Amino acid sequence: MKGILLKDFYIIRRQIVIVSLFLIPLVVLTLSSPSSVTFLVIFILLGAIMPTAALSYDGRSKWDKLQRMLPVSGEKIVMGKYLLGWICAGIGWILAVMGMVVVRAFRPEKDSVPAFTILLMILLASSILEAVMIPIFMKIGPEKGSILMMLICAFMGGIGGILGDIVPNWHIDLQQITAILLAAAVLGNFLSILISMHIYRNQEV
Amino acid sequence: MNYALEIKNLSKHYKKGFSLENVSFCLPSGCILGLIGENGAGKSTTIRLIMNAIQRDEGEISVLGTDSHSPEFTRVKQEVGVVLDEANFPEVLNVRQVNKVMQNIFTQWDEGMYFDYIQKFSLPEKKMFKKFSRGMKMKLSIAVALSHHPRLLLLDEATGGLDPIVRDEILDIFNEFTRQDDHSILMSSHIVSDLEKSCDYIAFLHKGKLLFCEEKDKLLETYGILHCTRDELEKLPRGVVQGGIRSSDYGGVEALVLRKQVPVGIKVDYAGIEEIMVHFVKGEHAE
Amino acid sequence: MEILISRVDSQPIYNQIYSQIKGHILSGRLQEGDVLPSIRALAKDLRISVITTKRAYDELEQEGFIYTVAGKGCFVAKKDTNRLRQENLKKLKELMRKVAALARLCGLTEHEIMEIYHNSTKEE
Repeated sequence: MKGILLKDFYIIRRQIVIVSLFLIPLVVLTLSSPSSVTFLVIFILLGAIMPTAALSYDGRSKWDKLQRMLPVSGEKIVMGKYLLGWICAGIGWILAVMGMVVVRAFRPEKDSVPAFTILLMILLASSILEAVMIPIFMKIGPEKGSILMMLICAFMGGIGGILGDIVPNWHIDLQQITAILLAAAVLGNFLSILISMHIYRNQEV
Repeated sequence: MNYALEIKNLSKHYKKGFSLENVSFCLPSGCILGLIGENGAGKSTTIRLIMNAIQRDEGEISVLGTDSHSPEFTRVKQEVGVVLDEANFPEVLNVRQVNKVMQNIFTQWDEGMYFDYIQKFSLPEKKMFKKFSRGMKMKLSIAVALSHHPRLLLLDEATGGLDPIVRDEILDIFNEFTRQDDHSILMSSHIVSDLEKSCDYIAFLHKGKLLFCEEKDKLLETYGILHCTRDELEKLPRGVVQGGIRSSDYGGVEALVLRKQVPVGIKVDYAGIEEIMVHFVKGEHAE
Repeated sequence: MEILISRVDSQPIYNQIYSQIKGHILSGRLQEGDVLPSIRALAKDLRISVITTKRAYDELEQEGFIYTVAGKGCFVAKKDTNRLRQENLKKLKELMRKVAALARLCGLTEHEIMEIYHNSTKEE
């Protein structure tokens, strides 16, 4: 699994560098919005879609054909994709938190909404997104999957922004929602992994 | 007798119409088996079935003594080097990165050997794979396949698209690989001349069926090519002519014959593997 | 030891190897006790099948020209003068057959053939 993960990191490390460079512009953008995390959530979403990007890449370069000849079990290959997603989403989350800290430094007044919690919720939501997308990508292929993915991301990005604006007017227990998201993320990933392993085993490449 | 590969009654049915049917052959340890057949005959499918990359419908496969469905099989793959016809490394990786990746996949990865091959093949260490020519891509695949001390090499059209000089270099390397008597090779190619030299066995796949799997020497001794007129051909005893016949517009025919059964005095020419293959296919088409 | 093989010769490759090694032994180029390359090494050096070289060696061993020591390799066997004579007789008979066939073609009588023979022995 380590070898496969290493391969994926070699592929996406350029992307990671480019994306990190967006930290400053996005921080600046966020300063203009009421919440201190509005645009920063993009980092987390980008992190979460890395596995599907990797899957598309593998298909295009026909690496997946060669991969099945290697002494790495199907289970490890599938797990590797999820691990990639979690690590990348984690990195995205760290970037978002860094950005948030910077924004707070410039704008020390209290946030209308607990920004940190929002980031956590987005992290969990994106993990659920990943859990949903990976098996879909494996089943319907990268082309159709990408289109579906873009729609969902745009949707989620929008939700993230709106939440930052309207949540203060709602009397909801964010803690509760976060807990629900956590449970959904854990369960969702668990089921997703099982489904993906099944798809991988029966796939003809 | 140890077998590097044992395949029994292997079948795979595709909905689109092609199917591999009841293929059985063995590769004794230390030997080279050449798998020949036209494009689409099922050679690549066979290799992918051997490595369990696709699922078989029927039959048994044993690689280096282990069933390909057993849980031990992933470990056996450590000792199998594979070269596919479309060399398939991720485009943005370079030679050094491939080394690091493979180091973490193969327990017996030999970095020294890998870079020796890289140097021997004059491959640039820092250039991205997507900028490699077809020949360079193949050479990298071969370097990787050889550098983890495999006991079995599976080569699927590994020399296709390469110029004759490079092909010869690479065939030399495969020849050297089998100097050790527990090293075996299964190579598929439709460039029959590549296989004709150093193969011990030749297996001929045609439209998903195995027409023969035979010692190469026996094939060359058994068959010959007869050039004669149609009348002379008719006069030959039954069963002498094998497969189809090629006729020219000038009244002559060319037929594949069993040497031993040709009456003494009639000149029989050398029949290469390619000619044997072509005549067999012609015979199949005629039926 | 020199071995040259032709792939397009009508004579099977294993036979070419067999004959050439036998020739080396009979002519003395290969001496008793000399070690022969292993079946595998010979095959790889000549870029031919190991089955071919094995067959050649098997025949040589069957006819007593070489012997194998497990783990050590193949060696040239002791020259058997009687066998040598037998080999040469075999060759002679083969040549005689060819002479007879040619003579038939030329329409020579037995007397004429014997004359040619006597003349050739005088030349020596």
